[in-house]
Amino acid sequence: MAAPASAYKDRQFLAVIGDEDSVTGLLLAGIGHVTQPPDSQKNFLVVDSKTDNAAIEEAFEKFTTERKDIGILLINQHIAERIRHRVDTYTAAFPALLEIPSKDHPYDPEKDSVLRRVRRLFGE
Amino acid sequence: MLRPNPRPTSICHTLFEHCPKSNLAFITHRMTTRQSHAIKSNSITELGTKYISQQPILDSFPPTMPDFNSVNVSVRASSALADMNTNELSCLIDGLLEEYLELLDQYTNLRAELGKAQSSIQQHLARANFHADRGVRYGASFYTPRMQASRVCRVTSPALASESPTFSVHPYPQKSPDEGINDITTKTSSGTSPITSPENFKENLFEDEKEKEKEAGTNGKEKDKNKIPDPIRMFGFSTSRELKEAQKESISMIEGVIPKLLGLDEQMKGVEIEIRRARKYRAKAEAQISEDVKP
Repeated sequence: MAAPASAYKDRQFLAVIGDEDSVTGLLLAGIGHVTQPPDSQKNFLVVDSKTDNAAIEEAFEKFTTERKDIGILLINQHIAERIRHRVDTYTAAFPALLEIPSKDHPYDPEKDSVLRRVRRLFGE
Repeated sequence: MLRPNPRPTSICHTLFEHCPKSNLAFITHRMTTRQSHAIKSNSITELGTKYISQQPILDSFPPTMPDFNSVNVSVRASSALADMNTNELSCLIDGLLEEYLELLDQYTNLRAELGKAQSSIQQHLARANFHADRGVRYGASFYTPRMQASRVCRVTSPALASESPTFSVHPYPQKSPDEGINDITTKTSSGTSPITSPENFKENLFEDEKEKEKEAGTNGKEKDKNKIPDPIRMFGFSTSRELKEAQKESISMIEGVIPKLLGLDEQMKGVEIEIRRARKYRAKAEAQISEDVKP
């Protein structure tokens, strides 16, 4: 059940995919990090109405698969909904994934992956 | 904050009183290893000792847990499940479901807390934007391309391989950017020469710098280079009270609610696996019974 220690030893950053206000709020807490040049990889992605789903998927892929220094990935629930197929098929233990509400889209229990799991368990 | 478990010992009593004897060992093991967050281990150990002393069947199962490794735990769990009859398995599943529902209750409460924290942060940010100079909006245009994380997460490996890892978020171990300034202000406020003029201030500053250099030597310069600035400085040096409030709320959310939610999610996943496993064994046992009944 438990993952080996090597799977999470170096995972120290929190990443976020969210709208501008959510990302700003989280960066205020000090989770924002940009790696040294020439890579200069950010651990956050600001999504607006112009951001296409491919870019969100690419960031999700980068944070979950490519980068080995991300321990927690936070994503706005309404953005997770845009790449639901990717989010629902994500089963790795690390980085841990958490859907968070945003200003314009409050938390919807119907879309919560944990509560959907609960419903499945109880046979609904 | 996690809500304290309203009836930690009652679950133990229920299980110990109503479950058949042979699966007590398995339940005791599960509860002592998995539910340390919710149930006081002392009470379980006491109960376990009481029942073990009364029942010879459990003599081989010590009340205090030995150092299990993952193989031992899984073998013990599987063998214990395989030996149980349908009633025992049903009882076990009921216990697991009760545990699962308690975790779900905690999850729902934390979700509500997270929602409140997020809306509070957004409100503070909206107020900060409202009070900001014309045309200024605290957002992506302020993000610096050289930002460094001042808060990092830590995944703690569980004591037992069967347990879930725990998450925590904490400040990166660095000196705060205001520490130097604070040092000066505290020294001058408590010292004999308060700042009354720019000349005095310069003298104090010079003396402080000299002292620091003596104390730290060349290490001081290295430390200054490694200092991670307060993330609020991205948005300017004179930031509004609302922005500081938003930062305070955000830190509280990042360090409190989010790691707890992730930990609960992991625990729930673990219990789900055990429920499914127990259901599978119960289905097998039922199938076995129906086959035996057939002429």
